[in-house]
Amino acid sequence: MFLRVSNVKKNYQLGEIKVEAIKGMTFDIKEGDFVVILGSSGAGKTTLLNLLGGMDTVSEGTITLNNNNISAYTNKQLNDYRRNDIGFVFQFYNLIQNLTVLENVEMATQIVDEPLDAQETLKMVGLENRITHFPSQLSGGEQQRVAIARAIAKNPKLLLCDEPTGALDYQTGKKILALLQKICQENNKTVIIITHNAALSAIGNQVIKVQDGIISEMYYNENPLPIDEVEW
Amino acid sequence: MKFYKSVFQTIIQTKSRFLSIVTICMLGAIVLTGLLITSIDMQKTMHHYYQQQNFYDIQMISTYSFDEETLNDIKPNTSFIQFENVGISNNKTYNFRVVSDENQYTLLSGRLPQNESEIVILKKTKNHTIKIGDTIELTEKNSINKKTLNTTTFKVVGEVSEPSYIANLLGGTSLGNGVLDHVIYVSKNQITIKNPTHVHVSIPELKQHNTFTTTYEVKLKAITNAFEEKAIKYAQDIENRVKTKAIEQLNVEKAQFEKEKTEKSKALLQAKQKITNNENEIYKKLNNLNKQATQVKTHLEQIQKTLNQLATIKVDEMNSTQIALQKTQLIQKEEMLQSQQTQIQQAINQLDIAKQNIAKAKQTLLNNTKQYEAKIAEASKKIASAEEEIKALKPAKIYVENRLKNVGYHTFKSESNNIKSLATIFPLIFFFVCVLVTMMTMRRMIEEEKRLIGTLKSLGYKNITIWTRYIIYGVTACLIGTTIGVVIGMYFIPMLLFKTYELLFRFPKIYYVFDFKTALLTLICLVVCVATTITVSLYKMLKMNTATLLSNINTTTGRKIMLEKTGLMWNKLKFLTKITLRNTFFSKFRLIMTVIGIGGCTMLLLTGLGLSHAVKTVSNKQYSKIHLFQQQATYKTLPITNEVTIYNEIVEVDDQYAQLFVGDERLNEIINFDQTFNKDDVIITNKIKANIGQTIKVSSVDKQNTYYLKVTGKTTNHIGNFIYVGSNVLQKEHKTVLIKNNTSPDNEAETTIFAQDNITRVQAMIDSIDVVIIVIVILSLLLVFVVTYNITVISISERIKELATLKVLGFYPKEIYRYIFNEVLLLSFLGILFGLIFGEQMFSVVLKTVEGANITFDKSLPLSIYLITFLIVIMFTLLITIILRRQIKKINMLEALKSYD
Ligand SMILES: Nc1ncnc2c1ncn2[C@@H]1O[C@H](COP(=O)(O)OP(=O)(O)O)[C@@H](O)[C@H]1O
Ligand SMILES: [Mg+2]
Repeated sequence: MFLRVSNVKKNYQLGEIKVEAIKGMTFDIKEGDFVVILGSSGAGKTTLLNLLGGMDTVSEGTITLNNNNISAYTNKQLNDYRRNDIGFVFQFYNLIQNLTVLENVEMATQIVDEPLDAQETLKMVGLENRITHFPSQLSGGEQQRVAIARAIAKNPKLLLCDEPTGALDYQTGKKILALLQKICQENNKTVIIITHNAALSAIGNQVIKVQDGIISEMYYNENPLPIDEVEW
Repeated sequence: MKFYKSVFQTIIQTKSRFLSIVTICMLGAIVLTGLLITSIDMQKTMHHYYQQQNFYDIQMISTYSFDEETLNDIKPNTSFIQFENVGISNNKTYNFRVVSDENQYTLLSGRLPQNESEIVILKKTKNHTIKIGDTIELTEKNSINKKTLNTTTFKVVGEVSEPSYIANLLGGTSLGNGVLDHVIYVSKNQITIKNPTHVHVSIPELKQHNTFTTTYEVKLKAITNAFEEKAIKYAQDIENRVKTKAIEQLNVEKAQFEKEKTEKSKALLQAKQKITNNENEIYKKLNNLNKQATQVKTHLEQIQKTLNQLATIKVDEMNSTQIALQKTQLIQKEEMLQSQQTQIQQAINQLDIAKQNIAKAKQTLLNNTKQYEAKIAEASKKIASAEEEIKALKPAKIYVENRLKNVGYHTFKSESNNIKSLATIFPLIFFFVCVLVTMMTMRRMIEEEKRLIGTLKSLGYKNITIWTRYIIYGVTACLIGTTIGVVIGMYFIPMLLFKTYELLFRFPKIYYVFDFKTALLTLICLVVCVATTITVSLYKMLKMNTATLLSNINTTTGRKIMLEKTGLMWNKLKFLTKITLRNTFFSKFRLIMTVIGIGGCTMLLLTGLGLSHAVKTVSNKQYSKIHLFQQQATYKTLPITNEVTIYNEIVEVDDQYAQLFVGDERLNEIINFDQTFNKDDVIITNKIKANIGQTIKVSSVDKQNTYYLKVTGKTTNHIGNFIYVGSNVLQKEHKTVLIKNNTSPDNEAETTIFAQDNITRVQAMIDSIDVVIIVIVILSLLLVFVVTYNITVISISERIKELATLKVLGFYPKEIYRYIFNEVLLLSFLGILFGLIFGEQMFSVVLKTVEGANITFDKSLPLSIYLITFLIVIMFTLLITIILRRQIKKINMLEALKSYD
């Protein structure tokens, strides 16, 4: 199995209070799938994604990627893991303001061994004409596309997106999702996106519904819809 | 209430920032108040000591002793005898100042003298070469050139202090090497001079002024002038009285001489008369006797004749009886006459003896007369010479010296003024940097809390309430920092500096001044700057609408910097370099603030190190680059020598002291002039206030000689003032040899001045400046530390989200450090560059203020000082980046995912 999460728990200790953000989750993800994690606010989606992305460590349970036990990694190993295996797309893009579009992507490609061509990637996200612009000169959707380009140019095994459309309007959001779908299909990348928008469940190969720190429902779509056919 | 509580919670949460503001305010306050107050404290302390000891304002020195009448008129505090004397103690020769014990002193250790061979000595602050129990043997060499002491061996039994000698440097003397080593207080009875040579006067009306103020100086100068006028009269009077007395004495002597003369001559005359009378009488008597003798002789002859006739008559009966009778009668008569004759002969014989006696008396009379004549000749000669002496009496001179000329007073004043001058420009820049960094920190805080401000606003808090939050935060930090700083500055810094100044001056108990004005000014200045920053930054923020504040729209815009617009190599740069350059030049405000902040620190450090260097090398510069002679030996008559010879004299030009050197071209061998010295030249050293072409009036210190010299050139000099005069300008007999090598001193020389002694003399000043400099350097280093720390922390806080993003993207810690610290280092580098460039200016300004009247420091800064300054600041920056690595490590990646900037 590509990615395996078994009996993962995550607690936060806030002084006296113990917050159980994830109370025990077990699921598998196949390589090349487009996974949608769905849940309302505070359900524990971000926490789960942080664990998958090696930004946080589990309290209990294991996470394995290609049979590597990530949950047992040292900090250094986690750093390498994030560097080489993960592409991350933030809700608020998190571009470096003082770097141009191209430089933002190149900054990521410089640190990995087998990156994709930065310009090519930008062409793929449709920003080949904006490469010399600064993030502040771009719209939100364009910035998110730069962020996606930055994530995939690293040529990661896993692309994690935390509410990638959360800060975008409907049309732009759709375009971003279409892009992610395209990347998943054309580049055969495993993509995990988080959303609180139930309508998006239709576009994933696999849908994991999260509620209050546990998986409330999980299913596979035999024929996921292209985003264009989904309305909300 | 809850709102205000939250402010204090914020303080606790952000304690490192709060503490850094406190520290910076504290440093600023320490430097501003500490350096300012130290000179005030020093001067107040000494002022009180002078007051308490009733230190003289005016000192008068008389070449004739002061007499009763003058003393009655001057009414001095003290009057005493003072002169200088060479003496030996522990087999070493020193120049002593001998003061009669009438002068007041305070016993510090040991005991007071109990007999007249015991003395007390002035306790020096260092170089205690003579201790209690030592003996001092005074030689015949003294400043008065006659016997002055009954005994010459003294035992030291106590150590004392006197307000005249607060500095370790006691001053100069005409003896030996020219440096006064010790002051001793000798019983008046041991001194052969009877009347005081020195008097001290205190002026009551000057008491109300601090002795180091210009008011005091101006008033004292006026009073001194009045005294100088009086002194001329006093001198005249003393001289007149001395002359009158001498003449009176002479007249008495003359009268007596006349009387004796007449009496003696009369007696001689009488004696002569008597002899003559006696002689006459004897002759008269002799004549009588001779006459009588003749008569007796005639009688005897008649008797003989008659007797003969009788013998011829025939004797008969008749006449036989008659004849016999007649015969008997005649014989009887003859016998009588014969005895008469014997008597006369006896008388004549007696008269002969009398005659002999008279001859003797005559001889005696002759002798007496001769003696008398010799005596008279002698006495009249004596009288004549006494008359001559009176005529030849030197005019009396009274020198008036005021407190300003006291060696202790003026060295102390110049030392404390040195601190004062260091305490202006230096702390101001220091303080400016502190204010700047505090402002930057507060501004950053407000930027960081943009979202909170938005929330508070949306919750309906009034702008003024939000403003109060930051004002409380900022002002509390300022208040705490400034208060601590002021206390440290007002007590600790003076204490520290006093400790080191105690090696140079005898301090009474420190008189701490709490200068409220300065403290308040410091506080107000900081508070106003902080409040203004808060108000301006907050105003900009509050002007935005709440939605903007809360939204995630990034208000910062990326921009290309000049370099990439011009340079072709831009694309070849690594992204890390690019980002460093862009980040550095992106925010002009931060760039300028940082450059000024770090630049300011660099300036301070460069100035401090530069001063230290200049001060430490000055004597070396003088004695190995300018004056190449090691000894300056003065003789009564110049020996034959190959060395350069000159005529040398200590002179006054206006109110400056200088050494006058009269010599020829050979001076060039031993002194490095800016231009070659010629026989026609008058070259003065740079600190003498005169221009080329000007004629200066130069008078010897004893005011015996005055020269008018036209200046033909000026030359660089570091220590002391000199006037080099060509032998064509002044004709003077050379008496001084400038000896190039440091051989042992020639005993034949009257005085020998060693370069080494001069170095020791300036060393005191150098040491004291150095103390202040060390304090300055330490404070600057602290400032460098705090400022770079703060600036780095601000840089990190501004980029915290970027750093978190980089972490998520899988950047290694090393790469992340570089991302942020390259920028800090570049900023620091630019700041240092700025600081080094402008620091030189500051250095030369500060250097000028500490120079004083006799010393010129070399204004050039060696490369090594720049290098050291550069390295120190860079090292500090590096050190801080190492310390702050932890802070970067601590950054939570999840931070990157948070929605706001
Ligand atoms: N760093 C944290 N410390 C403490 N509690 C946290 C932290 N991150 C998340 N939580 C808590 O865990 C729960 C799940 O949060 P999260 O995963 O962010 O939910 P969401 O599904 O909205 O992304 C929430 O109740 C949140 O308060
Ligand atoms: Mg979330």
